[in-house]
Amino acid sequence: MNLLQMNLLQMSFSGAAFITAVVTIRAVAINKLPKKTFLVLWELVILRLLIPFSIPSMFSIYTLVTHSIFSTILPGTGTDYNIPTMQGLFVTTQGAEQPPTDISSSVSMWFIVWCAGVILIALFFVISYLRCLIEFRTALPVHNLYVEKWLAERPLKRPILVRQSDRITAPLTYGIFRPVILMPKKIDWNNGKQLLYVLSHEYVHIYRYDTVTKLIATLALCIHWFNPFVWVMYILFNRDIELACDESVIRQFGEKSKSAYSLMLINMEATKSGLLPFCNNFSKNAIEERITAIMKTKKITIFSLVLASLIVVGVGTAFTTSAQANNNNPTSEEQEYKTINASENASDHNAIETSGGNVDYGIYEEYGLIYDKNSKCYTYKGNVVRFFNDPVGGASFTNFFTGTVDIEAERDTNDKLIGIRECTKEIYDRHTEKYENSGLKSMPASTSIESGDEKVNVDIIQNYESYGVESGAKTGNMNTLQDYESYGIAYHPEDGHWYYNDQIIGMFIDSEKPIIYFDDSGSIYLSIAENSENGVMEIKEISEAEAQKLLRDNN
Amino acid sequence: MDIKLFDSELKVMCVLWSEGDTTAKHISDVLKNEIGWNMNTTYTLIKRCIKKGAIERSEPNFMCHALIPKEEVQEAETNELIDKIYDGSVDKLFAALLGRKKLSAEQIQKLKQIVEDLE
Repeated sequence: MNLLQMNLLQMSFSGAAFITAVVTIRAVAINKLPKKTFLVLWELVILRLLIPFSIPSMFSIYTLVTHSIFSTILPGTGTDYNIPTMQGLFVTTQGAEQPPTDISSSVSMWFIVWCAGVILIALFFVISYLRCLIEFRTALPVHNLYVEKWLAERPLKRPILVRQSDRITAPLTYGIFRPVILMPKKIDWNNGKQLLYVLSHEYVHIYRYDTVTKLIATLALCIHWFNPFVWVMYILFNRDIELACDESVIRQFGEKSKSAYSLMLINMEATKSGLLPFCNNFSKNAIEERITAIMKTKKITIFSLVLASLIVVGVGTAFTTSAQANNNNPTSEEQEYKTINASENASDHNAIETSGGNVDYGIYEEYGLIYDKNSKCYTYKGNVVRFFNDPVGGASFTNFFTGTVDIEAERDTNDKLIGIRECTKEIYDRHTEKYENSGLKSMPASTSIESGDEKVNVDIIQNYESYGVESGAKTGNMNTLQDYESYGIAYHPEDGHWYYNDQIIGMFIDSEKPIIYFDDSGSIYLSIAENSENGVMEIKEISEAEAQKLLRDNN
Repeated sequence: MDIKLFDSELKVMCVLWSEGDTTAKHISDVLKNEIGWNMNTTYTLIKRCIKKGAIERSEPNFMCHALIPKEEVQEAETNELIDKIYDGSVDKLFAALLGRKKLSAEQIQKLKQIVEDLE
């Protein structure tokens, strides 16, 4: 599956659930909680929409969802919230079913439409902003004693300018580092009280960096433009910024100022109509909500504070974290294992060729799994092991090149390791068949072990002619990635590592061919994939989390 | 006058009226000192004035020439003020000008006489 698409849809989907929750709380308790509560909640929503990863938590709403739908697994909903930990584990697609090709063409279609949408919406915002900015810059200075006195009383690190314009009808603020408060020319410059309210309101915006938050919200909107929930979020978030700002001004001047402040707003609003024709009705609704909110502003009680923090912490944890992959629970892990290979027989884990970098194979030694230093292979009862699997211990590897015997770990009902047994003839044949059908037969697989290192490397590499039985891991390394040299990677014979941009490659994943290269001393992760726009193969550096995701999606 | 100039555009015109024909660069320098506008802002405004027919541009050096005299704009602005704020009656403006004191009917009659004479 297309990684970007899956990630984005997941983020959008969980974002939508979060938004629904916040909208509900807002509808019920807008005038009962401090308005700041909603700002914090919206900011969490925006983070959820923008940050592609999340912390697994047992308190997550998706833990609940995942558990309840596990019996009827839907790949792409429940399971996608389970992100297994890395542990140097890697997985290739041997025998896994490839998605039909028509899916990939619809994916790229989807990608093009999404990109076009992002660009259009972003252009709309950038152009409107620039047009406004050109207009705002033509504003004239204000020579008003009252304003000058007010400014002198508020020393902020950023210099604030107050200007006037005959092109606007309501006061506004723009600029982040050098904020400018723009007043309509027609405002009553002698009405000190009204001026004070207006200036204080704009000052709160400046003080709280509301311009920046709005910008980030707009970014989220551009990316999730296809999601109607995000549009609702954007509109309500902008309203709540104003509500929180009003609330703070009222707090500053005391509850007696409520009526005067509301009247000032109504005055401003009366002249404002026609400015935004496409949301006129909506803003009428908004001003009603705003006046009501101001008139209902109450003192913050301990109760409302506690309630607000509980809601923020509770809803925040439930919706920003992802479902917990419970590693202590073997049945859950096995279930996950099965989900990854939804098409596989439940008892059959051989489609996965894994090697845990941190797995201690020493524990299997007493049951007969012996590492042979000469052939650099594991042996069982004198035969080279072809297939080993212990799902509970997270250990498994294959060596279809020199291996002759398939074994698996035996565990009792408490999952305690009690021995190793040979697979039945039936399973052995099935493994052989799978291997032959997988198209990997022409690609010799190797298990190679770096000298003196307990960690196991499994390389399944095309054109791997000098298989490292006699030459060892280092010479073996040389040929592994030579097909990709044209993409800018290079082999350094002096230390036996592959390099990209002068860094040792830790992992190299080709999602088209099931090729995975792994190097313990490496520090960077690379993937190679076809660019969905121009069809050119591209190499790119990815994060550990992305590598992990890619490995999982390869299944 | 058919041309409606906004405050910021009038600022540009003011420079032209007080300094005579001059280059756009000079206008920009003057307004940078006076208001703090950057060059782009001033040039945007000059171009708007050219589009509205208030300024004529000639080469070389982006020379600017005011096509409308200051008096015309003053008159137009005054007319607008009377129309918008004083319901189109000059005497109300007069009354306001004479320092917010209420005028007697007699005085108003006198002012009206002056206005009629002038028309």
